[in-house]
Amino acid sequence: MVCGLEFFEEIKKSEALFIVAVSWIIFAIISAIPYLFYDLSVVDSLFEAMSGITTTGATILSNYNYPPAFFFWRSLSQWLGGLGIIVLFVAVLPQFAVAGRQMFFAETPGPTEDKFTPRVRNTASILWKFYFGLTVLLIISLIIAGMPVFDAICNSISTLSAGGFSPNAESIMGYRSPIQTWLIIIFMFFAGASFNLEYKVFEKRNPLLFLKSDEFKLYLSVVLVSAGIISLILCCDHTYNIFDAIRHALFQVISLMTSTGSASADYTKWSYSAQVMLFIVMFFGSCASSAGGGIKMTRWLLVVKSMKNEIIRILHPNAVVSVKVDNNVVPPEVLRQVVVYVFYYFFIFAVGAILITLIEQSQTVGLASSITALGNIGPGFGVNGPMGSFQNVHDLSKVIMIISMLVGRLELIPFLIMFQRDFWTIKAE
Amino acid sequence: MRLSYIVNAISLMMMYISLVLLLPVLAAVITKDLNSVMPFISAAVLSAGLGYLMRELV
Repeated sequence: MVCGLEFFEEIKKSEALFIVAVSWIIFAIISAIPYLFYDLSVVDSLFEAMSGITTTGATILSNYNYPPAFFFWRSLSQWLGGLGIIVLFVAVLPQFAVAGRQMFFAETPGPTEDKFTPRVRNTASILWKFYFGLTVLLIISLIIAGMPVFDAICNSISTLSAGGFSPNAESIMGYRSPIQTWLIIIFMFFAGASFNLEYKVFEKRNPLLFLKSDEFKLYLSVVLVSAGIISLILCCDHTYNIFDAIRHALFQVISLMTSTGSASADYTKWSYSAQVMLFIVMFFGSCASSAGGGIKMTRWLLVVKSMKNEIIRILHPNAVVSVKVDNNVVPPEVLRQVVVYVFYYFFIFAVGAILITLIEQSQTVGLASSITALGNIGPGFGVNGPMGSFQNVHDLSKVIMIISMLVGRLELIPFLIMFQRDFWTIKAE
Repeated sequence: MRLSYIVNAISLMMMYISLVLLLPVLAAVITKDLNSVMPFISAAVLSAGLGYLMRELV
């Protein structure tokens, strides 16, 4: 039997990537077992489980007549998946501390290795404690704001994990409380920002650090501009008054951008232009080192800066230009990886959208289901909107979505690398 | 790719996931919904058992 610390010391990067991918599949299968006892089919159980652990929040439930333990498990699975199951094991298991670095970065393969202590185990431990602290803070806030205790627990753990599962069939809209909606807006926003940055701000008691981060500034700008445009649309077409328009627009923009997927309103009843804006927002994603999914703001930042530099090079072929983030020069190989990542992301989105469109005979369902699964967002549009479910979608489409959720959560790399022949040989590093 | 290494890591995780599955059991007991204990206990036992078996077989 192979066991002990010496075993983990020898683990290779390829093995770490494989362990991460397989762990998530096994975690999904185990998470699905309880759902089978509630008369859900195998595909539906797997869909709900994968949607939970990957913090997608898409559901196949068409009725909410289930016991509290069922809803608690849905939300808890999102909370565990929010920071990553491997990150949790690295934080709590001494065996994983040794090989933690390989698996930690295999699971959270952002464009840069962002850690704030030399030991990965300490980083993982601090992240989980901070995540736990924020969750408790939201639970207390929601209880004070009048939400029932059980609902406050479930909604808080789903919000901080950017998951979106709620024990209420109408999501946050079902509570009819503007105060609770504002509280969730604030915590959703911070769940979508970098936990590393938030911890630094908390540790140094200096909120100005937020404004020194290029990624955070872009994240804030996209949220404000998108919510501003949607608020205007909702006001102009008399859907809401100005205050409700701002609240609902901010909620939905942050919810879909951070991949939470909760709803303060049925946005499928909004005007076409507002829905198009929300669809665009789905492609942005949250910040790196957050609980959210999607392409991530750092990658967009690097892609946009690279594009700008390419234009400069066309005008001035001999110019030496570099891409800087937070005043640090980004190495060309990182830029190349980011551009390739974004290309693969859109390629997988397109393949998923085409397949689901062919199966469902609906472009709306195809496009929305593909991005909502790959971006780990949750609700789509039309009948798959926040007040609907994916119950009526064909089993084959559900399987495509299950795969997309996993691929999106693992940020493509552990999935794509398995298609390389070298990966399966002993020579792979 | 060394199978024994991978199986060992995954089996360890499966055993710890089984502990996490006991939290909904606690929720079921608190809410006095004892019918909901069985699904989560079953999943926990299966996860721990399979994890233990895999670890022993490698």
